[in-house]
Amino acid sequence: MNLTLFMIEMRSYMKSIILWSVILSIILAVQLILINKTMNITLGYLSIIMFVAINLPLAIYATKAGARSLIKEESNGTIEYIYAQPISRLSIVFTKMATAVLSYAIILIIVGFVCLLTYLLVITPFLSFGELFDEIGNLFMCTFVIGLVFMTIGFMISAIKSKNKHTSGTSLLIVFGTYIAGFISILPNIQYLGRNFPPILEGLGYLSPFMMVSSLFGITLPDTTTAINIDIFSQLLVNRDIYYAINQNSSLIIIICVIVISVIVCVGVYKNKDLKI
Amino acid sequence: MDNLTNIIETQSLTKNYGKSPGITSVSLNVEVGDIFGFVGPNGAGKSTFIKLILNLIKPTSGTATVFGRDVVKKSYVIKRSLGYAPSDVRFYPGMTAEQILKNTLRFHRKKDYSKIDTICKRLDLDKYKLFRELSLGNKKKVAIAAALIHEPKIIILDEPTSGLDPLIQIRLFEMLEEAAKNGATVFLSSHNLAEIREHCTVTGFIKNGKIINEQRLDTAITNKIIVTITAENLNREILEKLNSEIIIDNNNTVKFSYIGEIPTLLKTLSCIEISDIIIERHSLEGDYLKYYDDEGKL
Repeated sequence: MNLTLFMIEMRSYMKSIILWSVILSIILAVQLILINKTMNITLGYLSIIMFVAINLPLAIYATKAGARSLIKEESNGTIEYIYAQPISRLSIVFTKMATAVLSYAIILIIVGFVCLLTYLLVITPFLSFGELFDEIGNLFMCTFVIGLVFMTIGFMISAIKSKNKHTSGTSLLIVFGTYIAGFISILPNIQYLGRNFPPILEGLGYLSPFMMVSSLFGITLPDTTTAINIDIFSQLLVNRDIYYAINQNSSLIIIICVIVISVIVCVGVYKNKDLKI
Repeated sequence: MDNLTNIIETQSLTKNYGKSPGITSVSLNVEVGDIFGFVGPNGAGKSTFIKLILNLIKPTSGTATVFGRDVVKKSYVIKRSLGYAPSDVRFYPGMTAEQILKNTLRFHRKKDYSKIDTICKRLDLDKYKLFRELSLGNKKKVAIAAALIHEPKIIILDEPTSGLDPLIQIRLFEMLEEAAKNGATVFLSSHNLAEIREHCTVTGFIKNGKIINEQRLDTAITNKIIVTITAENLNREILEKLNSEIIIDNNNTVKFSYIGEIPTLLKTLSCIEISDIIIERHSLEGDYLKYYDDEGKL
């Protein structure tokens, strides 16, 4: 890893870190405060809010950060400067990966801190600080790993693509595609819908990092009987069993494979790529 | 590395972009202390050659070494001693010239930031201005400063003078000549034949991706003359006796280059009934026309 490139990269992430942290913190805090006005909020509701309002935008951030990181230097032409310096392509890739992960982690830490503060200051406490810290920490670790999976996929795209064009579109397509796949996978297990969907749809959960990572972290959503009506979408998600439709061990293997293969393809392609300037 | 004669050495270096060739079987040597001028029209393959040397693109076949090290396998090691300024300068728009130069020094693990002031002063560059606010010429100065500030042993410049005012062009070549005197090797591409003739020690002509001529300017330029003669029933056999090379042959008019004693030339030509004669010193412009004027008319 190259420290000078690391500093240049972190500087380029500054604006997006501030923007995403502020917006997501506001969304999360406002949602928690609004829900708290109607009833005592539990961590189960936080997991719904995380799933709908935080995980999805952060997955988009992570995929875009990965997908743009390598190709943007080629599109901007700055790779010609970077690559005239004594730094190997491998070092360029790993430095960019490190900065993208760090930028994502900083956003998560800020949003997580705001979440913790909102709980402590505004929402009626029902857990000790230690328990609250552990629970929120678990939720945010889950979000971190989801982002990590999408980011490595983004890096692979960035190495393969020859132009920056359509990077955002591709990122959105991947995130929404896997999100929808995950959503469809839980339909057969939702009591609210009368379990009318074929069980084979559960297999689509293995296409969705959202589902697989959540199952690994043992994150459950509250029961339909106690759920409040945040929106229709979250109502549909509310079922304790939804994550257990996919096997944790298979999920772990798939997630590790996706990360490892994405990184290997990214490094392999980028090392031998003709840089377009 | 210290005993190397050739700083850049390529063997049958070829790069194809799909089916269209970039450069074909280029074998070129650039020696220590040389200021090598790479000449050719747009699309001839100059930038492709430079990008291959920098490992920005990979060769289709052939090899290239810098300091005896393979440019693909040991690229980052080579770049510890390499400075490069591209023709189309695109740096980080939100950084000042000073920040860019500081980063360049950091990349090379050098901490003498006082050099930034020295080089900016010499190139008349405002180090506090953001890169995006700079004019084309000033952007070029940043690129040149970034290529030279860490005192590299090889300096590669792609059309360095385009966009620079004449005063800075002179200063640039002063800096390059100083670097060459201190043991650095300079490789530059240019369309400006006057600056090549004036400042370079060697020139290479490239056409359609192939090297068509390579010559030392110090000897070749001073000794070679170009003769154009017009005569009825011109006997070409007489010209063959001279150490000459015909450049253009057009009915009664022949243009040829000659290296040798002037009296010998005049004595030989006295055998021909010449109606018109032009004798001039060899110029790169003449070579350029010879190589790139496909019609070959006088």
